[in-house]
Amino acid sequence: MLTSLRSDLIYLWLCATTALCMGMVLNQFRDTPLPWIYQSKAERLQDSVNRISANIPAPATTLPATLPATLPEKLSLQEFSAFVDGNQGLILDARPEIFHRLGHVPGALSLARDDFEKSYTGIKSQLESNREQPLVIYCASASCEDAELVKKSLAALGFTNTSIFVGGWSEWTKANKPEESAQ
Amino acid sequence: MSNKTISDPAPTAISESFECESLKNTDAASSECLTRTVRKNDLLNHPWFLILIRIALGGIFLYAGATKIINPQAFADSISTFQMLPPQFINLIALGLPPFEVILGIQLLLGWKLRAGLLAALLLALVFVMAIGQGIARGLPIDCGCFGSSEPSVLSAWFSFGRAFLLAVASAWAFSRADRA
Repeated sequence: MLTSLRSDLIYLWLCATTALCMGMVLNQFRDTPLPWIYQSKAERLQDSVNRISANIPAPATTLPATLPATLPEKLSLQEFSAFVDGNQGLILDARPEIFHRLGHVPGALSLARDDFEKSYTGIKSQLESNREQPLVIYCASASCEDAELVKKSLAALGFTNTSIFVGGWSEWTKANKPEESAQ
Repeated sequence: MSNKTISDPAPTAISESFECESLKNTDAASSECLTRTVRKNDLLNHPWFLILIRIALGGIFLYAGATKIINPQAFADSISTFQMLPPQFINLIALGLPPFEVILGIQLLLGWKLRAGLLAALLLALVFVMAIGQGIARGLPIDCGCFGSSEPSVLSAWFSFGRAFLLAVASAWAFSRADRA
């Protein structure tokens, strides 16, 4: 019994080692291989921000002469609805791009937390046209952290007039508000 | 069920047959109770039942591994929500565990090295139960990451805990049967 258990455990150890080797080899063929040491979402975002900020002009040179009204830190559903209806600034969707494609708040641009650098580059011209323009960010729900992380990253890039729609996509859809999806 | 089977139940049903006898009801009620017990044990002892559990476990592990192989970064983020491992180990687990689950799933489906496969399923399920259990005990919003990533929450952690517990029970039962065989 003990001998067979030992041989089973040796076999499993070999299987685990093989699996780890397979995982490591597969990883080398990915577009963005996983590094050996884990980086948290915030650390990865910070890296993206550092790379982006190395390629953009200093924020002070792009400040407009007149500043728009400052947004509160967080917006409720009613405030956000008014913001969307009034077309008062840019709306940014911090969820993964695939979810943005499936459905988003009308007019919202994708600025995905998990692929920040690529998303930012895609909407760079709209964002950098005015660094003081009001930006409202949302993610999946009140419990997700993506909107908060994107807000911090935008602040590091010189965008100061930012706010978060706390309820996120979940509250927006529950309230039967209009949706838009990619063609 | 024949009278012979009723009067000569399987050894595992002996304690239950005592319960039936202790009913002190009519002979007919006692006999019916004993028949139910023997039928239940017949089902559990049936070779097809072990095959069914083995295939179910294999399918679960194969599916779980395949969904995680696609996006190891999301799985690494899920592991980090458990707050159990240092950063040096998180990505190694995120890279190694999904292929291991795929190998295990295929092995269980094929029935090759069954005892070792069921032992691995049992050990993995126990690790899942302990990992999720410690997260619940600490009140952490966990994203189990079992079948791809989702939004971390305490409620989903309870659901994952129940699922891992059932997996552990099924694996333990199948392992005990495979061991006898």
